[in-house]
Amino acid sequence: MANRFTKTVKNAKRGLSFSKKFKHRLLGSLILFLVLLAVCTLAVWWQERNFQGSWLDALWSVLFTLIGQGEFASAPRTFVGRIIVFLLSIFGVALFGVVFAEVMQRLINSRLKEMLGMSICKFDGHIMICGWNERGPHLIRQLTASGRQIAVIAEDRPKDLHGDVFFVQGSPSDREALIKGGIMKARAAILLWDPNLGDDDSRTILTGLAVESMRPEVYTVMELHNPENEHYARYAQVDDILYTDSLIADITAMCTHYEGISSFIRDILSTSDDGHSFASFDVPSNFAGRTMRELFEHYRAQGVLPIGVIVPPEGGTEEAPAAEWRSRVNPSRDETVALPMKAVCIVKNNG
Amino acid sequence: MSCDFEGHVVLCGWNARGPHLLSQLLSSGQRVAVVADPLPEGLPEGVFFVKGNPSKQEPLIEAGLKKAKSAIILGGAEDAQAILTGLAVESIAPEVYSVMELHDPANERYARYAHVDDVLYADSLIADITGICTHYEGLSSFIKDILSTADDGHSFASFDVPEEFAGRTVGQLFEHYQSQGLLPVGLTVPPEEAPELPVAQWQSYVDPPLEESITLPMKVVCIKKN
Repeated sequence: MANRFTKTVKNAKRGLSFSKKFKHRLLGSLILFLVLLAVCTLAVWWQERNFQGSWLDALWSVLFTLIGQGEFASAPRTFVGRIIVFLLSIFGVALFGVVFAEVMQRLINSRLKEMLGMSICKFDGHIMICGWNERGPHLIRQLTASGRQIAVIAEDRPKDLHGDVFFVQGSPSDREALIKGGIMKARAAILLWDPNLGDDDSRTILTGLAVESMRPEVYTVMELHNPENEHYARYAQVDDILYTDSLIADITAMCTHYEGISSFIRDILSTSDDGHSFASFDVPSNFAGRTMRELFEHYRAQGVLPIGVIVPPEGGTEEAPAAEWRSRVNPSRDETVALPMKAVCIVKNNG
Repeated sequence: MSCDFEGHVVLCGWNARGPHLLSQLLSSGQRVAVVADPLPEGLPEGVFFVKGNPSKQEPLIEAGLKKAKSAIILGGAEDAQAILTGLAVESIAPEVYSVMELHDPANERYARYAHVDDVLYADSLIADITGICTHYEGLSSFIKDILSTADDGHSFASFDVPEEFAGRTVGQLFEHYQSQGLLPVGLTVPPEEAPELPVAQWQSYVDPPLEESITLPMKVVCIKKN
């Protein structure tokens, strides 16, 4: 027993030293290991069993020999069998150690890289959050509730980041960080104002420039504080701009004016609960020339509540980005539908 | 000098949202008193300003809190100051409708202990809006329109359901508001298990079944032209 333990420890040490030498040669080691297994299995099946029974039993004996267990490992019947046990005890264990150590190292490296935000995102059609602030966790909750994959780029890993969210450490305006975050395959990018990157909108605008120059077709939503900076964001071709302070001020004023309306507002603005929220749909082409009443009845029949439409700007081209379209709340029901148009509805969330 | 306004709004504290809020309130014809320290830059004429800590009684009384219709408690980096202000406001004038801005939902219970009427989570609301605007391209113009009362677009409004509608259907109620050019979209009602709760804690029913019977008290939420 003591001898066997000493033998196993020695073999492991040999394996470890061997694995250090062949640290980055996983494929070569794996092929050598498989060749050794195949040759030994064939030899055992031939010499020890005279091709009796299944070759799988021979393989089983060979595998057990690697860990010093089994009848064949302790008492080989033939001379070739003894040589095989000897070879497996030295080279087999060493090669097994190399392969095992390399696989484990790769797994640990990959996890570490992911934790430190150094690996490359493989998501497709995901949403990137560039920058981080207090609204980040709420945003992640909202987006994950609607089934979106998310990649976050920030200077530091946010505390308690959801395990399914891919994290890239770096400046969100940095090209390399954006590539690691999968910008080339992303559907949309949310550019958050990040207090770690300065107290004005400039870094957010730089991030917008970087994103739009790398992939203009990504739908970008930027958070701005100062409306005077909007023209910079427009130069950068950012698709949509939200003024956080102004929106909160609007909601606060409304809730002060109309007592008790806040629960309603919260309900229809959140998509992560089981209440309701806004949604917009492209108006089907068969509604062109028909009345708004018919269109609204169509959506009512589907169980959603239509409240308005959004249409391309007057005098603008039909190709104007959707973010520049005009909103028409509660339009006259006798009005004629002219495409392109999006219908805005209140829909029940999936919960 | 004390504020001689009556039925006005007292803005307690100041942050980056202060100027927007002020323009919203002024454009809807409200008179406003601001309690803050220091004096905010570019405060418009007609706004009564009291220099002082909004969690202290004296500046709040000076701003005419006892005669005010409502008080808005603006948050700073930490919620503690806002909660202290809420306590001061509610202890001076419990009948004033108070709306508090908080960051951390875990602090809501303190606001409720202080009897603050309504609590808004700025970060969460913005995240909600950003999420929707990312999900549905082009929706932001619509949302901006109906959330703002200061422009010439539309906004949400809520009204007490008139007594004559008790026992009638939601469909009849909605037709009544539609005939006035409004777009009814939902209701708010007291929770069945706690009907005595203040209006800010009523439950919302978006797009309720039209055949449902009306039980008062109830508020109807509409979209109206500003």
